[in-house]
Parts: sequence; C-alpha cells; structure tokens
Amino acid sequence: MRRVRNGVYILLGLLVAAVWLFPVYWMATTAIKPGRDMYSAQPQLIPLHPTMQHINRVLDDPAFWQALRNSATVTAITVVFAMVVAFLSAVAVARFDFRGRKAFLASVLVVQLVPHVALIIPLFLALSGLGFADTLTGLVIAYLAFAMPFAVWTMRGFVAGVPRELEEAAMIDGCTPLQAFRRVTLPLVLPGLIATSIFTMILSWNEYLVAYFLTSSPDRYTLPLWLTHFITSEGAEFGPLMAGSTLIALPVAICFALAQRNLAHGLTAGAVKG
Amino acid sequence: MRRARIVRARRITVRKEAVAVTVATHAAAGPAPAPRRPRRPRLPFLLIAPAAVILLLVQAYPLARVAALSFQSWGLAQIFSDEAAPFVGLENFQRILSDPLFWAALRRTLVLTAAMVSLTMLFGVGIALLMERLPAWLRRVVMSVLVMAWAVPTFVSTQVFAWMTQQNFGVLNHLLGLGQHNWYVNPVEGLSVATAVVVWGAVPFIAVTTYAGLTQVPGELVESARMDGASGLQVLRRVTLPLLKPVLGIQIVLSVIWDFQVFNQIWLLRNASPEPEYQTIGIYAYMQAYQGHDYGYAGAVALVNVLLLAVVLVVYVRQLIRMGDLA
Amino acid sequence: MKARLLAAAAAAALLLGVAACGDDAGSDDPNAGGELTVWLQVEAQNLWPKTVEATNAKLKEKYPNVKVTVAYQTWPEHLAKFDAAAQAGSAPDVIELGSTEMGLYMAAGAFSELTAHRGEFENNTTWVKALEDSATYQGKLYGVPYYGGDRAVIYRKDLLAEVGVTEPPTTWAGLMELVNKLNAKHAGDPTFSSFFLPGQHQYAAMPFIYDAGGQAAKLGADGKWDATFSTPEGITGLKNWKSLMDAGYKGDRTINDLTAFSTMVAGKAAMFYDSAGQMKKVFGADGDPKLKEQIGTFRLPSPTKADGFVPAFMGGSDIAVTAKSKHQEWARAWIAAYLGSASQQAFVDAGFLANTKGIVPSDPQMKGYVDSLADTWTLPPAKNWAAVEKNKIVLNMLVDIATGKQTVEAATDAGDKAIEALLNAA
Repeated sequence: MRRVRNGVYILLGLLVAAVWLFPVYWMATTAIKPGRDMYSAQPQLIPLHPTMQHINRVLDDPAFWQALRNSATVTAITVVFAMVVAFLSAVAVARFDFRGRKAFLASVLVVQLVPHVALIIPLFLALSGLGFADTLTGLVIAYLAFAMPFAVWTMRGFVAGVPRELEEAAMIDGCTPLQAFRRVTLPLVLPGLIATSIFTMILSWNEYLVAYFLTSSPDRYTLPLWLTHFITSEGAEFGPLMAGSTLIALPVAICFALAQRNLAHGLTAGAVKG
Repeated sequence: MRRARIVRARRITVRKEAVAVTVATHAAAGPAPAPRRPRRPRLPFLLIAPAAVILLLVQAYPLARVAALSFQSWGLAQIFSDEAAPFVGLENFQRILSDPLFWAALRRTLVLTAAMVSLTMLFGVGIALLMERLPAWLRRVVMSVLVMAWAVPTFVSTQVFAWMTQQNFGVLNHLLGLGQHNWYVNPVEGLSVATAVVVWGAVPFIAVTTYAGLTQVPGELVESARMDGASGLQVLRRVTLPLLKPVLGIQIVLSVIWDFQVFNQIWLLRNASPEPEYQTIGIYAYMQAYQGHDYGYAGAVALVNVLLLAVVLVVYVRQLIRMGDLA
Repeated sequence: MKARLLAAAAAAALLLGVAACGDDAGSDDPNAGGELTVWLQVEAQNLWPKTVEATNAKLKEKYPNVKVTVAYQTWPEHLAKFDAAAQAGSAPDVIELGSTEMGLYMAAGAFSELTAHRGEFENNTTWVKALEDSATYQGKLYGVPYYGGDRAVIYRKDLLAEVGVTEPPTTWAGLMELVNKLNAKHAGDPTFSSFFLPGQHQYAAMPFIYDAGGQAAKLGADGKWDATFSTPEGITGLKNWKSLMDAGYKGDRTINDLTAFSTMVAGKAAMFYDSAGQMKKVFGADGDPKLKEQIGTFRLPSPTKADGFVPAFMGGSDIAVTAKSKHQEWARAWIAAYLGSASQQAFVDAGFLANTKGIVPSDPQMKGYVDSLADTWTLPPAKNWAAVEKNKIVLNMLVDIATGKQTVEAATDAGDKAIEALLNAA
C-alpha cells in the first residue's frame, strides 16, 4: 500500500517536472533550430540540425555583455537590500506593537493594488526629480519597492514563528544579542530569506517597464531592455528571441542549480524534523 | 575544536527547545503573546523607516499623483503648452461608468481572476504537498524545474506558448492531433491559453513559498496527530493548512492583485492588439486611456481599479492582519 | 496639492514670459558647450549605426563643445516615454516620430516650427510628398522627412519556377492563375500559403479600398470626418482583399504580417505583400542568406482595373525639434547633418526609401517598390487618427472579416461608427 502510494507520488512528481520543463525545453531547443526546422508541419521534438547561429548572434553582441553586467549589478544590490530592509520591517511588525503598525502593514499591500502601468509616469517623475533618471540606483529603488509587499509579509510570518523565549534563553545562556540572532533567529527565518531573495532576484532580473522609462543611455540597459532592442526592430523572430531568452534565463537557472544544496537546505533549515 | 563541539551541542539543545516551544505554542492553539510595547518606543519606527521611505517614494507618491490626475483633464495639450491642467471634477469617472466596454471588461476580468487564482493555488499548494512526499532526488529535480520556469520572464513564456499553439506549426496541435486548429478565433479558447500561461508562470512561486512554509510545520505535531488516529486528509485540514494560513493568505491576496492586473500574457498572445473579447481591465485601461495620451482618464481608470481591488480584498486583508497578531 | 499646482503654473508662465523676451533662436554660440539629446528608433541602432556616428562627428566639427547623446527607443512605448520626459522637463532636443504619429503632437504644440529654416535641410525641394505632408500642420512645417517605405509583393522565384512561372504577374487574372497553380502543386501541404495574407494587416487590406476608388475617411463640408469603409467602394475593396486571402492563404487569420518572412524562408509561403524591410529580412541575419538570389518583388495588380495596379501605402518617419529644447540651432544642425544625401543612401541600402525623389534604389530586387511609388496613399490627416490606431478599430474590423465572424457589410458599418466617434471627438 505504502509502496503503491509512493509510486503514485513519484509519477506525479515526474509529471509536474515534465509540464513545467516542457516550455523551457521548447524555448531552449527552438534557440538552436534553424528557421527551416521550426516551420515544419511535423514539429521536431528533438532538434535534428542544431545550429549555433542564433546563440552566436547574441554572444557576439557587445551590448549583451554590458547589459548582463548591469543586470547582475542591479539584481545583486536589490536582493541584498531587500533582505535587510524587509527583515528589519518584519521584526518591527512581528515583535513590537506601535502606533501605525496595522496601517503600515495594510499600506504595504494597498500601494501594490495599482497597476505598474498606471504608475509609471508619476514614478518616472518622482525618480527623475531626485536625479535618479538614467541611473542603476533608480532601478534598485524601484525594484526594492516592488519586492516589499511580498518580502515584508513573508518575513513577518517567519519572524513571528521564532519563539521569543528561545532568543531570550540563548541570551541567558550567555549569547550576545548578535550571537542569539545568528544561532537562533537566522536559521529559523532562513527559508523566508531564501524565498524572498529568489522572488526579488527574479523580479529585478526580468523587469522591463520601469527600466525602459528610466534608462536612456544604451550603456545602462538591463537584459530585458537589451532583448527588446535586439529583436523588435521589425517584429520578433523566434530563433534569436528564444536564443536571447535562453541566455537571459540561464544565469538564474545556473545560479539556482549551484545553490541547489543550500537552497534545499535553507528551505528545510527551520524544519524541526529531528 | 572542543569549543566548536560545545557550540554545536548547545545549538542542538537550542533547536530541541525550539521544537518544544513551537509545539507548545501551536498545541495550545490559543493566541500567542501579542507583540509587545517596545522598551525603546522609537525602535520600531527606525526599523520600518527604510521600507517606509522607499514605499512612499516609489508607490505612495505616484499613487497620490495618479489620484490627483484623475480629477483633471491632463493630455498632450497640457504637457506641451505649460498650461495648468484644468480640474474637471468627476467627469473622467462618469466617462468610465458610462462605457459598456468597461463593464464587459470588468466582468471578464473577475471571471479570469477567479479562474487563474484558484488554479494557481490548487496546483501550487498541491505541488508543495507533493514535494514533501517525494524522495529527495526527485524533490530536488522538481524544485529546480520550478525555479527555472519561474525565472523565465512572462514576455518570453508567453511567446513560447504562442509558438506552441501556433495554428500551422505549433507543437500542441501536433501532440493533440488537432490538425490546423486555430486557438484564437474563439476567445474562450484563447483566454484559456492565456490562463495556462499565467498559471504556469505563477505556480512555481506559490509552490516554492508554500513548501518553505511547510518545512516550518513541526513534524512532531503531524506525528502526534497521526498517533491520535487522524487520517492524512485530516492532518492536512486540521494541522497543516491552519499553520500555513498566514503564508497562504498573503499568497492569495498577491495572486488576486497580480491576476486582476494581468496584461502581458494576453497582450502578447494577441499580437499587441487584443480584440474587445480579449480585453481585461488592465488592457482596457491601457488602450482607452494610456495609449490615447489621456492621463487624467488613465488615472481615473487606475483609481477605479484600486477601489475595486480594495473592496475585494479589504475583508481579507483585515483578517490577515488580525491573524498576524495570533500567529 | 492645488496650491502647488498653481505655483507650478505661475512658475511656468513666468518662464514662458522670459523665453519670449530672450533671443532664443540665435543663442547657440559655436563655442558654447552643452548637451544635445537625440531620440531615434531602434532601426538606426540596428541598421545604420555608422551614419549616426558620422553625424555626431560632423556636429562636433561645427560645435566642438557640444556633447551629443543618442538614445534609442522601441516603437510600442516611445510616445508614453516622450510624454513623461516632457513632463519632467527632460524631453530630448531632437526626436523621431512615425509619420502617422506626427499629427497629434504637431497639434499639441510639441515641436518647433521649421518653415523658416527649410533651406537648412538638403533635398528640401524634392521631398517625398506623403512624408512632407505628414510633417506639415495647418500649412506649417514641423518636421523633416526622415525615410519612407511603401509596399509591394515579395515572391520566391524558385517556388514560382516550380510551377513554370518565371515572370511575375502584371494582371489580377495572372495573379489568380499563379495562386491556383501553386495551390495545385502544394495540394498535399495544409500549411503552405501561395499568398501569405493574414487579417491583422491593415496596410495590405486598405490598398484594395483605395484601388476600388475609396479611402479610409474623408473630411465633410461640415468640418466633420466621415469614415468610409462601408461605402460601396470600401466594401468592394475589402471583398477583393478577402477573395485573395481565401484563394491563397492557409494559416492563422487573426495574426499580423510579422511572421510572413520567416514562413517564406521555411518555404511555406510563395508570396506576401509588405515593406522592403520585411523583404530584406528573408535573406538577412534572421533569415537565410542563401535565398538572396531567389527573392524578387513586383507591383500588386489591380482587381478592378484591367491594366492597373493597387495603390500602395506610404509610411515612414520624420524628425522634429521639440519646442521646449534650449538648443534649437544645434538641434537643426544635427538633423541637417543626419539627413543629407549620403545618409539617405544608407537608408536605401537598408531597404527603406529616401526622403527625396532624387535618390531611387537601383537594386533590381527593389523594382516592385520603385514601381509602386507611381501611386501611393497615406492615412487621412485627422489629428485623432492616432486614436483610431491605438484602439485597433481597423485591425479588429479586418480580423472579424477575415475569420468570417462578420460580413464585410456588418463589420464596416460598425467600424465606421466607432471611427467617426473618435475622429470627431474634441
């Protein structure tokens, strides 16, 4: 019985992996198919005549590498700041009762109710008024704000889950507050921090609209901006588009593949399963 | 060396204590001690200050600008002539409410949001629960695939789905043996494809964060419930889901917000030119007002959008905040 | 809020007053330093980056202390970004706009009048009329024609040769015969289109209306616009368009023309009707360079006139100086340097048409486009036509006709009402 059930789980797990993998697979294989093979009445599930033509077009474009550097910079800074800022806020709302606490929590969500498309022009005016137009700093600030609702609310849940008694016990044990934080709090909120950082990373890596409005100089393009300039001059062509997309998604995928062990560990760190 | 061992030993004791305390707290099922008044009253304000400043600058201030705009007539003439934009009272709002397209788009958006959010949550939570039950290697595979899918920008995933559902050369028609079926003549089919793109893109987020939450559910709690004779389903309903409530709550709220504003997926599937039968509120707003350079009207549509979402969510958010005090 | 707005308005009024007193036009001293911002669309970045560099170098010779920044924009969002930048006071000094986008901005007073400076620009007496018209508002010039583009039929010589056709058709009957031959030859392939012609492509459909003697809209004696898709000429034209689609196109009728070229590269389309840019893509970096010898163009024959041809749509771009620019003289000098005859040759090489009748592509592959120049049309000069475009009224109407969701009569009737409401709105 148990074995049958486990078998069903494994089948379901494989099915889930297949469904979520297929479009990514299709993207990556389309990137290496010559045009003729894409337009065949019998779609090729496996590319029969792989070509590096589209990929090379991307790799030979110096603007791609510049955009990669910009995106990496913006994303890294945003992720670090998002974790710190959200954690601080989460501690405030989870641990302290203060005037305006509920208002703060509610407004973090409420500001999210407005579609970004509608906010973009006032946002542009606000940021450029402060001299952040055409700077990577401006992007970091905007992405931090976009990540805040999820980050604050998620972190709040995790911080609230850390029993205060435990930290106090650790301090009575002779730990300094910092040590107590490192040994007790951090491991318990780590899954939240990891989830937050994945969320923020993907958000800032893929964001297009704000980047388009705020950036004018080609040497400050981020990857999504580079991609649209690369392909939309006269309409999207699937080969180069998929090659560009694959190369954009790849760093994130590799990053997570490398961090896989830590990621899995992090997500289970707080698990108290023995 | 010895010191390290001591530290580790201490850490283990601490962990065990954590279990005991967590279990005790959860088992008591009563409210946990509410957040207390801080000894240093200014501390919480210092802690939220960075987030507050960023939100004020990037979201609150633009929102206020949009709100002000919605009572003005603000278009190209005002932008380029340096004339002050005239206040027109509620004119923009009257225009919205008297437009039958707006109401049709609203109905469509509500139906789509309901479908997208419920499918996303169903698959997301289901996959998270499934991951818990998988052997470690497969869990790692599923997790990697989900994160990879999550990392694909929506405008790319939409193009991939568009390509997969292409009439003549799409792999979907081929796999389903549908010949040269056109998925977009009938808006119900076309919007189903859009829903599939949205759900496909949103599930990884829900699954990964729910799984992160699941790892916080003390195993002892589940085991003791089991020992009391609870079935798997009962454990899920009585123990797991209640503990996940805060995480699920915020996920649902955010999903409603995001799906209500869905834009990219439909916009791109319809070649940046969606027919009226494909227009959601977000697309309607963009086409009617934004592209028409009528920013006053655009502001009004955005404000109506916010009010509608607020009505949908107000009860829920209040509950969430209250729940936060109990967690 | 209100007080702040009033203050802003007062400040703006003050500034305006100052500007009116100062001698703005002649203030750009050759040795003065400063920054000139230029917004061009991505075509310039992708197709003729060297021309842009050369222009900047030329300006540097004349004004050594001026730093030029060229920023490239994409078509979908560039107008909203322009609006935002203008509001923030950071609008570019020089901007490219599509010829159909000019009307709205000229009417809003966004650009400086160039009528008196016409002589500063090369070829100003031989500009292509459709482009010059698009940069003219109430008889005054507000932009310089940049480049143009008309439409012709693009075909694959090898696919036509397979059915024994070596010369492209010059009559409608000949075209239909060719389509039928190709259909017969590829009868076994349900994905092959003899003539790739999807519904969401107005510049392929509307020419048939002009061919039947109609137009999109006309200005009535009462000063109001009448949309004319549902006139007998309009209906005849669209029925002719649909008959070519029914005969030659097998594919998704709800899409636009942007996948036409790749379908042709894959050998799944023998002909399509589009701009020269799309023609060049067949054998460009995204296409198959080996096809270069196999591609030809011809003028689309008329279904209504025995020896006639379908009038082609003429589109393009203009470049304007923003009214708020503080460097009017530099801006004009940059445009003059950019749009000289030498650059026009670069645009022509990239597959566009020059802004002057004086430079005609000599490439035999461009024959269809050069022939089509004999009879072109452009959209009605209504300042609200942009709203019709943005609301996709024409495109949705055409898709409904193409998919058979509505009859030509019903679709055009509804379309005309919607278009008139927009065109005659304040």
